[in-house]
Amino acid sequence: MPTTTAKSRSDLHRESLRKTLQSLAEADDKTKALLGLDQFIKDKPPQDLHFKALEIRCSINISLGNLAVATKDGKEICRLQPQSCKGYIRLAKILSKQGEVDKVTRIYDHALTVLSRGSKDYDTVAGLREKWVVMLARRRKKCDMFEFLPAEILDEILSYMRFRDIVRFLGVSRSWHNYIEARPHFWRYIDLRDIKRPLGLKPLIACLKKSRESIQELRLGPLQDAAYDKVVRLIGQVGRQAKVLEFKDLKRTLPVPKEFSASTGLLSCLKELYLSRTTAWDIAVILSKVRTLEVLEVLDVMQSDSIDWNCCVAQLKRLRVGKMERFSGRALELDEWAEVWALILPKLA
Amino acid sequence: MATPSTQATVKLQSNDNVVIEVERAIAERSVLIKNMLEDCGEVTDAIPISNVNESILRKVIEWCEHHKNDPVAAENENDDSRKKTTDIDEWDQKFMNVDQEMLFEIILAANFLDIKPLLDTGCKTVANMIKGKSPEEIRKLFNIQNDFTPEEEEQIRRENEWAEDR
Repeated sequence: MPTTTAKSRSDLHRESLRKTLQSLAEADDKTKALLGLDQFIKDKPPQDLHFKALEIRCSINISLGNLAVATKDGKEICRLQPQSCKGYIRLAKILSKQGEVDKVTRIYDHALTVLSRGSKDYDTVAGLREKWVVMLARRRKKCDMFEFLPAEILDEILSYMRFRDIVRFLGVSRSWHNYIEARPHFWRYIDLRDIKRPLGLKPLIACLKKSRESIQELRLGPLQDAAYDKVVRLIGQVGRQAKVLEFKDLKRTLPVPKEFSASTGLLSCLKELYLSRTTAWDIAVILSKVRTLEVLEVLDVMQSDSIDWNCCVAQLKRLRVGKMERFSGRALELDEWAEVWALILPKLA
Repeated sequence: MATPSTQATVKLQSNDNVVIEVERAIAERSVLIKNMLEDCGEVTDAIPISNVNESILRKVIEWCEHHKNDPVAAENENDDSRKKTTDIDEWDQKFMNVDQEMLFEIILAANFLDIKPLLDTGCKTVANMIKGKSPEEIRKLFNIQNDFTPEEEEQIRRENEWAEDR
């Protein structure tokens, strides 16, 4: 049993604490106020004041953007006073600031299961939840990135896509379709190496058309057998501009003519390619992978005097050396051979 | 007393009129602000960031704070390759784990403030969201109305069938 004097003393003490708290809540210097609050809470005030102090500290931290710290207090408030709406509202505010949209709804839902139905706090939360959901729906509606972001950023985002993704996105909506179709640079880097089924001629032509004939890179995956001849001819035509041309797995899907030099389609294609670029050797190497072609035979077809032998020798180093004996197809000058073998011999060991 | 050339902090004012004081070094992750400070010398007034609201500005500053010691990446203007990676470091992933609107706002702010690495991270985040998705999944993701007629849709589907994943 407390004595009367003790009681009034504790009343006095409580009154002074209340005042301290109020001044802290109204302080202009928020950082200082936070320090004061920390001390206040540490000194273990009566429960209701402790609760009040937590609320104030939480709100200040929210306004200062110290969300992690504020979350701690918010949770503590919920734990101490589960029947008060204050903790839940603060947590919802924090989550919304953090952009954790789904969690905001969840915290409101959770609060509504905990609070007793019909109480003032219950009604407050229910009202806030309703407002939130309406706001969310409105916010979500306009979040199509094509309506939100300018073209330069959309281009940047789409530049991370595989070519196949870009093609697929044509089917999303009119605005996506028109945007993608209208930007030839999406179609300048055609990479079809990762498609699941061998590609026919039609889609390839469609893609090339969209590049407005300014193709930069063309990387092909499996092609349908029937498309082979035409594709090769087509590549010969469009390959003029392409900086990169790559065939993957050609051996499996393309029936390369047994006598390479007899395949006029392939030859004319090669000539076209060769005339349009300096990396003749690259083409030869690509084709040598198709079959055990004699790379030099391919080079023979082209104007051999303009071949950059330094480049060829460098490429030879990268080739599988097991095929080297087949390089005798062309009559090389003695010093040319000496140079080639000097580079190759160490690799043979 | 601070020497005039090394002002320690700057004040930034969001478009909803909240002034935030940040270390100058952090604010200078923004090329826009950096240039502004270099041009104007000492700036004691708050710099208005007219396109960015408080919560986004705070987010952006949070990012700049975390990345304040990153080396400034060399300009790589002609990096036009399509084989860019969409890897994002773990902290950035967490940082970008926000609702779509905020994500887009951060991207816009990074673009406006000229914070290239943050812009890249934002773009990569969106790229990862849409990569490999079907048109239907994209519509769901962004709440987009399918405004094709059934005939159009069928035609587009047929033409681009080969690009499907499954």
